[in-house]
Amino acid sequence: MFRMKRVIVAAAILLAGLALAPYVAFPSEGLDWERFERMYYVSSETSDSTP
Amino acid sequence: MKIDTLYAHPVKVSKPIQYVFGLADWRSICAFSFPLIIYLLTLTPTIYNLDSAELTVAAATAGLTRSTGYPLYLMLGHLWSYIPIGDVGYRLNLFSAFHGALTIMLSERILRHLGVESWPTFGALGLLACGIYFWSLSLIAEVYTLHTALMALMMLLILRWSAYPSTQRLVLVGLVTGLSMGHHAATVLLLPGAIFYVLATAPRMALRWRTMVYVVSAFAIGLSVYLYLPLRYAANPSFNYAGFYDSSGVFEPINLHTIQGLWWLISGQAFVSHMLVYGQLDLWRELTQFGTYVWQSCFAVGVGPALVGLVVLARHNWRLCTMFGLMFIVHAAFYLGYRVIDKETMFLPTFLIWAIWLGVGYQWLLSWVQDDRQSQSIPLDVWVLRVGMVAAVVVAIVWNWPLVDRSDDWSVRERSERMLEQVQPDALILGWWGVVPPIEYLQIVEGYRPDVQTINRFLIGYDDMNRLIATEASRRPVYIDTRIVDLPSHLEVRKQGSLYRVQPKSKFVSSRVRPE
Repeated sequence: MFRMKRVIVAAAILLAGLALAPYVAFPSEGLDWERFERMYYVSSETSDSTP
Repeated sequence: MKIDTLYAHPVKVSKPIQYVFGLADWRSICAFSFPLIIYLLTLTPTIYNLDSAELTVAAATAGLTRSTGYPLYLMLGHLWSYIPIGDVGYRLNLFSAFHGALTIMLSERILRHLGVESWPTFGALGLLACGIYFWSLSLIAEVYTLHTALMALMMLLILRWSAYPSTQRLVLVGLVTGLSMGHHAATVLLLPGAIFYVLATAPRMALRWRTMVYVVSAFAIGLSVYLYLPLRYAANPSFNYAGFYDSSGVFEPINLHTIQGLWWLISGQAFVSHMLVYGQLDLWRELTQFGTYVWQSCFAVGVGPALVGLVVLARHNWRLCTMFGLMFIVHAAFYLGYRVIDKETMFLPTFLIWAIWLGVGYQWLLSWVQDDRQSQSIPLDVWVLRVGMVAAVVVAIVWNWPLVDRSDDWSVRERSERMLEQVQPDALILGWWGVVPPIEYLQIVEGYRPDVQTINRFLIGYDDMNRLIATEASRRPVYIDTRIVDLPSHLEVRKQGSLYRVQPKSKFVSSRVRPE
């Protein structure tokens, strides 16, 4: 027997996170180590930047 | 399955050896091999940059790294570096992949202990393993997957202890916790949750003097891996990031034979100025950013069911729920207040706990949809949900694969080789993490251009560096990775390849007029 009501509620819970998609966005790039690296150069006039 | 199975329930174990190693059934094998295969297909083929290169060189050469020392990583990584596959950089990347897969395998045991069946386990841990952050950090030499593997083992042992509380099992928890501390000091952020759970589950047993002495002793034995640091310090290793350069370019190591020196290293004193630095507004921004990380790490689909799992766990086993909750909150809170540029790499323990909640939530959803039907065959609606959980993992793999795949990334090695080729004999190179550690890998691990001296700018103060450049530029070739502005007026900086050459102005003039 297919319990439509429960399946819909369960599917809604499964997909609830997608409601935030307009605000959060799926990953569009991996961990960008080169970006981390470039950030040192932005602050390279100081010596206190750390990883 | 009824929802009242969603709490730690006894798992009968007959032999001590099975207690530790009895992991090799088909579910465990799949939980280990599935992520490992994916990680192997996308693994970085050689040395990578920043921390990855530093950790690789430190482990391979039995050297010393910066705070907090990571002695267990260095010891295990050193042994691992002898595996004859690829270059040493690849081997240490593989070390991360192995522990990423081990984390998933141990997490599968945790979910099984909580009564979560195969399908929801696959759905939850598939999203963890193939989440953008966990996957990325399983592909390069880093400390994080070993940390999550030890954390998962620690949580599994606590669950097993709670099923049959005994001093021996608690001693094992203490030992693994000490080892985990000996790898990553952030283990201390898990202790409030773990101690709460132990005291809330069997306080009389846990607070017996004899038990406490045994557990604390086991913890101290695990923690004794920190002795590796003073032992290696005594050997004066060729690679040492526990110290500073002075203005004459001489390295002054921190004395790890003193309590103060050792404490300076393992307590992360070099980074204290970056802890708890945000005001309220900034903290709110960091919090929303953390929410984004969680959302992305479980690919949106894992948000709703994990919150359901949290509530279900709270209703059926509030002690366990509090343990996971404290671990999650304390870890997240500390790193939210930590000002570093690669912060998103530091939340893997929270993603692991989120995946456990997700598994419990998935299981509850399946049980709720199935309700109390006694049919022999599995109802169609349950199959629909199962397929949905698996489909989310498949979509996450397809989406994230091109974003994380580093299987063809030789760029760091090639760039470092070019830099070493372009510099003059006996040169001095000053650079940040992306430049110096990979060059040090080529020099110390592979023996390339030992005549060149390299200094990581993290290890020398800005004023000392400028004084060093001012002194050395007239004596030998000096290169730096950025154009700096505070140089004395008699020096000039010119771009040469990926680096900048610093020379007295007269030398540039003479080189310009010199005939070819």
